[in-house]
Amino acid sequence: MAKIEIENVSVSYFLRKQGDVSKSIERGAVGAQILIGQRYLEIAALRNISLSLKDGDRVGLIGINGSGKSTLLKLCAGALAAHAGRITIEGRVSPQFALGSGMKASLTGRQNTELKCLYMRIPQRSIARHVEDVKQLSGLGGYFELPIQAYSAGMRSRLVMSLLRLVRGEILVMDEWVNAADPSLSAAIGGLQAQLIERAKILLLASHSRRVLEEWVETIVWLDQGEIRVQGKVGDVYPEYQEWMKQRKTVKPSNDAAAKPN
Amino acid sequence: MAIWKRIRPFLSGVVRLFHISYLEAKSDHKGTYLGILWVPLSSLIFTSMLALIFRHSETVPLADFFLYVLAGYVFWGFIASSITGSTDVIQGRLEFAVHNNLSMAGLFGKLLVDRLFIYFINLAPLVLLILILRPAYLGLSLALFAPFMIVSIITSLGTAYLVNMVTIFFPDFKMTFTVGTRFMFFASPVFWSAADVTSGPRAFLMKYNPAAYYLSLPRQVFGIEAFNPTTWLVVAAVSIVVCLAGYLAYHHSQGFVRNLK
Repeated sequence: MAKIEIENVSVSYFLRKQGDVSKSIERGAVGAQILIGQRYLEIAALRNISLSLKDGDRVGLIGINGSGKSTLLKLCAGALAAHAGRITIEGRVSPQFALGSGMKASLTGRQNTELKCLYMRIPQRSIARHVEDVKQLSGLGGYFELPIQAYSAGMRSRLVMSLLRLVRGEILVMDEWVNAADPSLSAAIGGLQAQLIERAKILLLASHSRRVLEEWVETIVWLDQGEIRVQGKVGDVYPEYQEWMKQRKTVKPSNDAAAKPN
Repeated sequence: MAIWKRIRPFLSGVVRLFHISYLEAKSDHKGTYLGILWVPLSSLIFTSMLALIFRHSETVPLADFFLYVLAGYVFWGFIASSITGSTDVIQGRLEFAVHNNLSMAGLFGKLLVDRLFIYFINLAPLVLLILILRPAYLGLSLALFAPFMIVSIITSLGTAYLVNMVTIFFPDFKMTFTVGTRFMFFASPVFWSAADVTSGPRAFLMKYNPAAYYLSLPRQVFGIEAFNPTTWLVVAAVSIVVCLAGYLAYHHSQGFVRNLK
């Protein structure tokens, strides 16, 4: 059984203060509030988030840039820590934040696949077979033997999508790149992606694409300035989000600043 | 049987990490004819030069001095990489690790295995040369290899986390560690010995530089130096302090440092 239990969690990023920080507190059209501490600038990326996910849940995250989607995904993956509240995760988390994350650009497709097999605890005797499978699926041919820094974005998509076969997480945490894949990817790879998502007990997917969300998730969490604004069915929440986006374009961002005496 | 079942997944994980280290080290030398053999070869070439140039006493045979320097130099490589290779672990590699099923502790463990892999590769020619040049050196003292490795592993882990912490909070220390490690190479008995010296800077450095005690351990294990319990006691004391400090630092900071960009 897999579950994610998030109770009143707040997450902040900290950046070292450098030079004149007064310009840092200027509020833009996107992004969370920046607070000025004694030694650090604090970006309050998530504030009082509560979310409960259990087996079978398929949840999408929406929100403008800097609303906290990626932070929430990284929190669930253990790449970030909550500085307030409590998070309980049961089950193995498989994060896919960005295209090519977790790979080494200087290594070939084959070497990256071998390393991925080892990291993903594929039995040693099966590694050679998996590597050949990935090569076939990706359709990269001779490029599979070249460093991935020589790949085009489409080639990299092909490799990453093919590597998904090796991902064995109960909780799948994916960022927006899933819908940015090369449309020429073969049906086999698309099928793999579907298998991966279907096999996961919990899916947490951040995306701006209504098509992707409607295809893969049942409920949506709309994040705004680090807080949950609305949570509900895709068909109910997404139109509301779109309407808000339209209205927002006409509203000028206010210059809001805050100072935190610590 | 129950114990074996418990430790088997752990051992399997360690073997996998060594395999990963091997593949990564191999890729670092891709395009060369000798490939990964450059790792021990470069150590041997550098050690030969040090031994030839810095042999300070005609009473010490060159072969003995060469083995003394080689044992010190390969372990110095392990000590130095524990420090200079740990300055940007969390900030630079955590996301890569998370994508590959490693936690923050797992990431430090993986980097430790990388260091051990290089150390073991360098250790192989040392053992081989001892067998050829001074086979009598290898004796009961080899039983000290296990405690030597345990002490080295836990101290390396503690040091790595502390170094990373210090550079996160005080970025200037990154260069300080690099320069300091270079300085320590000369200030530690890697290629010089103070065996015949009772006063002066070398004797001072032998007494008050902790690296001198650590460098003595592999030499004692491989019979190059005589067993000295005081050295082991000093090393144990320093290691306990480093590990305790590393553990406390990890316990209190592992949340905050992950969010520090």
